[in-house]
Amino acid sequence: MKCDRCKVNPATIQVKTIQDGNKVDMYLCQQCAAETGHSTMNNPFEDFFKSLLDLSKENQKSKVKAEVICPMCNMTYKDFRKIGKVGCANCYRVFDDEINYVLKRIHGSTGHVGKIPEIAGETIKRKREINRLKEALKKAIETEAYEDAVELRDQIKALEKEE
Amino acid sequence: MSNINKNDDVIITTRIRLARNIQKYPFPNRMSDISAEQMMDEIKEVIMGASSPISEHFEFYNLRELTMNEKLALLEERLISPELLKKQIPCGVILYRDLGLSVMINEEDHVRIQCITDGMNMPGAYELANRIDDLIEEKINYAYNEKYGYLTACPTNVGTGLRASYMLHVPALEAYGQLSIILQAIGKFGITVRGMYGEGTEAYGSIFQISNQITLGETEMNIIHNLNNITSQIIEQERRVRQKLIKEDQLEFEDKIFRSYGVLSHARKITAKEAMSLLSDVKVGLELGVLKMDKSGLDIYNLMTRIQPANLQKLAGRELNSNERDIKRAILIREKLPLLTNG
Repeated sequence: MKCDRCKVNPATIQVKTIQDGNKVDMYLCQQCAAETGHSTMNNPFEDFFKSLLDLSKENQKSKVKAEVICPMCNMTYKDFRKIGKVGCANCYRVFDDEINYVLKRIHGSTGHVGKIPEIAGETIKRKREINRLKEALKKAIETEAYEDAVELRDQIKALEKEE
Repeated sequence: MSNINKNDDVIITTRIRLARNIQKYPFPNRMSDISAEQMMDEIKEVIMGASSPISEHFEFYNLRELTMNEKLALLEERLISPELLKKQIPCGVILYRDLGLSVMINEEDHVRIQCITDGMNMPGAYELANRIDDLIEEKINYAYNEKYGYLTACPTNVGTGLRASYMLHVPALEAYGQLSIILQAIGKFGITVRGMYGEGTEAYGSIFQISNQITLGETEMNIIHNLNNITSQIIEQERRVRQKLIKEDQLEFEDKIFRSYGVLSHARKITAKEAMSLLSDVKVGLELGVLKMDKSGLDIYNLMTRIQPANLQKLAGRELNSNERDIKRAILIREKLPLLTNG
């Protein structure tokens, strides 16, 4: 499904709004959601685990006009906050800002460096290798190991060509 | 000394768990019964229908077709989790008992691959679980993205989806009051401690489970390496205190161990809690050579599982009330406990 606003990017967020007293459903991409103020980034967690137990009174009182919903599984932002679990793989895109925040707090990191699945993994493996080589290139330049740097640059070019 | 190599004077079992989800289905907390059935069939087909020699050894159980007691018996053997028991949607488990392998379907995540082996054997347990993971991955697209790795219903499992655990028997540290200090300290290294049956369960018989808390931002090997380092230190501490107990309070220590053996070998009624604590004493008594018996055929941890309520009822083939269970438990222990050769 394409974004209702830009008509280009895939829609990842469903937004319910009240327009002229009527409920209107809109499907937006991340960027348009952010630009129209519907990004969940506007409502970051103060304390995720506290919010799991007790939604703050202020939040309960406020009348939520727009609510972010995952179009794949219908998980709402409110539900996610309440149960601390997501409903499907797409929720990781819809609630990306919050999840990022939560993951940093739980794991101290947000980047996976472990196993890559065989089927879907070729591109990811290549990207990871390119990043590794770029780091090595940076170090080689810093230490003025120019012969190594040339070799690393060629390896990066070759891998980028495959992409 | 194979015992020492596996560190099984302190480590009872090693456990690996991989949490996985299938891309095209919502996670179990948002799943319809129809999708849940369909997904279960797909996983069954991939694991049990594969041409791999391992496949023919698997048995499948649909949880809806089991009695509550059969389910509880699986739980006591740690082949399924307490969470799977509570599921409302169709769910099941695929077992390869001899290898300690189980694949729970539609628990908190679509697939939870688990491998439990005796003693300290993380590479062995991980390799087996990973083989099943590869088997599924060949045919089915997992929910995975480059940034977060394997996507899971709860953010606490995202990344590798790996939970590596050791079940530790640390009676000396517990008796000396040092356990709580150690447990507090290991929290700083991203390691958590739970009771025997996982989160929220109590620790009986000085048995604890320690596992990694962090699943994202570390490779599988690093996670295991970190857990191994901490565990090795706990093993050393436990051994040191055991030796100290023997040296400093030998008579007290021996008296306690022999009394525990005495109660177990003569009681006509015994609760699970008391039996666990006494079996823990016997275990350490055997390991330190205080008690001598023909050990062949005696696996104390296995006995600890067999004396749990559901397993006792399974053995009896009928429901037992608590009094009947205490009697059956005492009989079973008397039957299984060999005579002392230094009594």
